[in-house]
Amino acid sequence: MFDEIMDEIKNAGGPITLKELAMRVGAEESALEGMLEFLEKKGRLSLVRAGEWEQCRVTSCEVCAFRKCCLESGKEGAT
Amino acid sequence: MASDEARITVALSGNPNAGKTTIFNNLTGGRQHVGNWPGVTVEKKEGAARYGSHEFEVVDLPGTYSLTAYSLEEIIVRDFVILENPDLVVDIVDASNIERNLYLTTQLMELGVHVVVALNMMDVASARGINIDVDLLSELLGVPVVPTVGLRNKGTEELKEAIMSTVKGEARSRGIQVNYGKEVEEEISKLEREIERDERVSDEILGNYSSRWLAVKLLEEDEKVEEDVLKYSEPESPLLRQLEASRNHLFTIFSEDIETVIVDNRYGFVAGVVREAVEREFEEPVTLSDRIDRILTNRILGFPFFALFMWLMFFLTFYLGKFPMNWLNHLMRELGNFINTVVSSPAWLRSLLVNGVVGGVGSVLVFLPQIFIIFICISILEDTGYMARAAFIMDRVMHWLGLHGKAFIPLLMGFGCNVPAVMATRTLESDKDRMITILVNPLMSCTARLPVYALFTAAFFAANQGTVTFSLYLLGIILAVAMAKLFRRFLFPGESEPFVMELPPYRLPTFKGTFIHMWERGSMFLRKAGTVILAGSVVIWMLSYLPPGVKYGSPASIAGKIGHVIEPLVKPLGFDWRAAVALLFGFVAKEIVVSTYGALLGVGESRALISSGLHQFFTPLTAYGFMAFTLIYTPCLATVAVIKKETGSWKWTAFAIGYSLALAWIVAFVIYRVGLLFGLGR
Repeated sequence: MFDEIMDEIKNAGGPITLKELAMRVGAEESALEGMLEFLEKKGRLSLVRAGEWEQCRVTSCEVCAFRKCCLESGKEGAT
Repeated sequence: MASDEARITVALSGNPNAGKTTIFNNLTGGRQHVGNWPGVTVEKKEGAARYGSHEFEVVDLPGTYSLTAYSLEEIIVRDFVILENPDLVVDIVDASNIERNLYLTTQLMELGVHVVVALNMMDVASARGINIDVDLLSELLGVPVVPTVGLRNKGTEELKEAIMSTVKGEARSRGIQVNYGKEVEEEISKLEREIERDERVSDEILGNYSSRWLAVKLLEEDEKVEEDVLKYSEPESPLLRQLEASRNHLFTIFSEDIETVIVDNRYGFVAGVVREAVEREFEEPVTLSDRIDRILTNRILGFPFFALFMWLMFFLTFYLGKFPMNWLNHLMRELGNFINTVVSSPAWLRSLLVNGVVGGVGSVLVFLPQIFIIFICISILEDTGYMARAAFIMDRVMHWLGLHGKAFIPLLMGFGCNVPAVMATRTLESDKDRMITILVNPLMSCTARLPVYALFTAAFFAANQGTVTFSLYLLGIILAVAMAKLFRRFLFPGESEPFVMELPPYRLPTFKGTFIHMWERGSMFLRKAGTVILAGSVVIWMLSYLPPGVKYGSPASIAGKIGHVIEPLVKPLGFDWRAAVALLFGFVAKEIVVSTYGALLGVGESRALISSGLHQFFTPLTAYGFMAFTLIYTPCLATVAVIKKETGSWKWTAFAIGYSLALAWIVAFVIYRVGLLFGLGR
């Protein structure tokens, strides 16, 4: 599965959406997401989730959606 | 297997949102109590279920996608299944997402526990045209499979019946083991043998784990299992020697870590089961979002559309912004007149209020409508889901730079404010990508530069304000691209990994949502005006007013003297000492560049007067060079602070300041000198 996924990503010759990749490898989007999360953990690729974009939109730590993640990872806010 | 009389424990496991709680409620009714798992704040629910004369205890385990030891939930589930040894695990599988859910099932089967699969949300699966051959699925997995619809309490009695017959040993429930291929299986067998031979390990651990599971987990380098084994196995024991030999052998064969090989095989097994037992009646429907994406994320059309949206944003900002801006300007003028009338003496106080406060802060505040409009535009682009597409289409450019596609997200955020944008680089896994993105981020034109552009474009490019501003934003992007390429080549060499993106569907932005985002960011600007810009304006007023007796803002004032010291550095760019002072104080916050001119010119009561005043010191060519310098030079103080915090290095912070200053000087010099060559000096 993983080789097929990596080949499809390479063959796309640029960025590829989760939906398109799921169609190409014939897997369920949610299952593919699980596989991509694993591959991301292994540093083979990077996955940007739909919600991730929306988290990055604030001007200060007080209203930042990342704040919890930052605190959990020991990186406190900067402003 | 428990006898009829003994208390039977059934654990409910499943992926998050598979309907586990609903099934738990259906099984137990009201007979349940809620507590916490020992030592953690994860909720633990227990209850009792009855089937005929039998009663069994049901434990609701936290939702999890797998049984690795990465998250707290995974560890809780794994420890409960291994250490508490329930009689049976009911794995709740979301039938509409069966492929993802079955991954956990394979891991539960691997643990060697008795498993019953509750195939939940069958109604949702049917509605999506997903037909599942339940009997075949059961045969392929080797465990009972019961279709359920938790929300309608369908299949609950059948599930209880399956639980009881499994507990009684009437149904096969250990599950089929995933075959990892000849090479891996051989090593698993060798390890199993050594595990069973190692007396201490088999005495202390094997009561809990199956030897196969233990062998697989050791190969996967599961930290928790490894820790347990190391506790009991002697150093240099045959088991540990075999483990090292097996890992090395498999690495030689597969050239990658063995965990990846094992996980890949599990997914392969699940894919095979799904291919056999699941049939999809129809393809995923093409949604409106898909149709729009065919154009907006198209390899060729995507870029012109992106440029069009950006240009439109600046056009609207200046076109719509000029009306409320004129009203605010009028208000500031009236305020200046009012202060002049009411405060007749002392002269210094009148000068402070009119030139320092109204001139300094007021000259920035008049741009508030434009700031709000640009934030409305950015919010709309984000809320509709377009910004995610912008990041997607820019990935190609990012990769050409050797940067990660994900890096475009913090770069785009830089259009709003560089401070959170630099912080957002935390989403980048690679330290090199992160460092490059942090260093080039200040080149993205934040809204603090907008008042400078608005003032100078109104004074020198009134007919093409939007286009000239757009060109400055574009200049920032081009420079960011060029610098990223240079940094990748010379400072942080390396490759970026490929990028897969989940695009959100397009949505209509709501008025409330857009207003909240606009206010959240716009209010920061207002706060800044009342604090940093006010303080900066007062300082500049003092420097322009002192020493006592000199003409306000003249070369004899302290500001004039400071300006004259720095002037030689900016003279080759066509700037005078006033520009030097404005740029010096703009280091605190870029808006102060505008308030400095308001204060220095002593014409705080009128933006029109500042504009006409600027004509004494700038030509359109030097004005453009000045705007470019403001865009590029040293990031503001808050951004510098956050760069220091995020890089954790004074060296890189100093580099960020130094290179941007040098780059600003070079670009402004080139603009000025090339402009002169083409006769644009006047």
